[in-house]
Amino acid sequence: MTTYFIRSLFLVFIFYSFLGQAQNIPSLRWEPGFSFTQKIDSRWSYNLSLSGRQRLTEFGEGEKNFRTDRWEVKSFGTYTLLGGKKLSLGYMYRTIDPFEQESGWEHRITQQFAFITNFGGYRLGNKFRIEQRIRSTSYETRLRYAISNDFPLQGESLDPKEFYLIGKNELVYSFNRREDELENRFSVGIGRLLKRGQKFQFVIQSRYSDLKSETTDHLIHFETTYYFNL
Amino acid sequence: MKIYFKYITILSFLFSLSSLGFSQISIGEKYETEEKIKEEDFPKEGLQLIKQIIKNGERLNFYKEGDSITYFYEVKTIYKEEKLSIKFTKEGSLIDIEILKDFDELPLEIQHSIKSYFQSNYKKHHLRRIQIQYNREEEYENGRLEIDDDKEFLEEFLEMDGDDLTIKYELEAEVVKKDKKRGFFEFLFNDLGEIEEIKRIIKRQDDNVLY
Repeated sequence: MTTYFIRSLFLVFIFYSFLGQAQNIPSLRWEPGFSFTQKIDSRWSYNLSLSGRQRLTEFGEGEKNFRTDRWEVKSFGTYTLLGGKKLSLGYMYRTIDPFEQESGWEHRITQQFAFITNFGGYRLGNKFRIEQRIRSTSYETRLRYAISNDFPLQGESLDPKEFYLIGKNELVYSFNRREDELENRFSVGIGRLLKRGQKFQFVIQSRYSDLKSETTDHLIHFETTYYFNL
Repeated sequence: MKIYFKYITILSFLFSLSSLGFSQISIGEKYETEEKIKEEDFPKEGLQLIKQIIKNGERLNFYKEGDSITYFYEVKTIYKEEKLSIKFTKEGSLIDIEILKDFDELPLEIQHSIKSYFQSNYKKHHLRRIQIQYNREEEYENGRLEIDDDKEFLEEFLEMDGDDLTIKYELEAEVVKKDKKRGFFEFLFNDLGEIEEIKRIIKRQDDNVLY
């Protein structure tokens, strides 16, 4: 009964997040990706991911405007502490508007501290990030905190061919010497463990940016990711 | 034929004793699939046996665990404010009953034995999930092996008759070995706090949460 209550609450949150602030039409993006993780030993692991964002509608206008917005390659080295706490150092290279005449780029360095806690039988992932974004147009520092919950839909453990739900909320604060900005990203998705070490996940993310200014931008982001784990 | 059987039995017994002496515990793997099932898909004999617990238990959940060949059934519930997990064979016969506990709720001498086991065998340890496991009593009476049937076993458990139950302690722990390797294991200790069995726990991947 409690489980059903928690899951119903979870669904209410999803709809609530999409109902809020509909003063402008959200623009749509789709980001397919591939993530590969390899365990080096009992302490170290390595992750490499590749993703490309496709723009489906013009930002804030709702007009159709298909194009490749960006693509990126990310790598992380992760060290596991006792108690499942994880420290990661990451580097990302992103190219913006890769097929346009004037394209941009970004080098990003990420420091991350993550840990998983258990709450009423559910695992909650907590993730703190500091990012240095060195872009072709500017420099920016970003502070991020994300809390996420994922649970199998059949039983307590996730077995091959079973589905799971994932929900996440993240606050992103960006700043440099000239300006600062706050963004909230709420995601909900479904995934399936195809076989041991391989899963496919589909996520819908609702992003509200410029929360500190009077004109908030809203973006709906679809993510399809294939996770491969060795 | 009988004489051979006798020798094999004696040799096996001696071998098991010697292995206990050197505490050579082989490490298995805990990697069972588990699915939530409906009450009607649970073995009827099992349900009949624990009908009192089902009637008064809160947050009842029924599971089928294992693989396609070797599997068992499990009921998880909160009964008289205790988190119970009752395991059955596929035929519906009782295997064991476990109660979730905090480490400081275990008997003091058991706490000491378990602590000293971890301190002497591992560089670091982090205990996570502790359960007292109740098993049916098996004892020799007048040279004959007497084993409690399911009904007697359950009655003794409900009465918390410690003298007529075999008690074990099951712990999940993250450890750092002497060679600095880390791992998650399930440890089973007997009623004297001596290690009986170790299984490696295969954890759910967190790559979709982490990156």
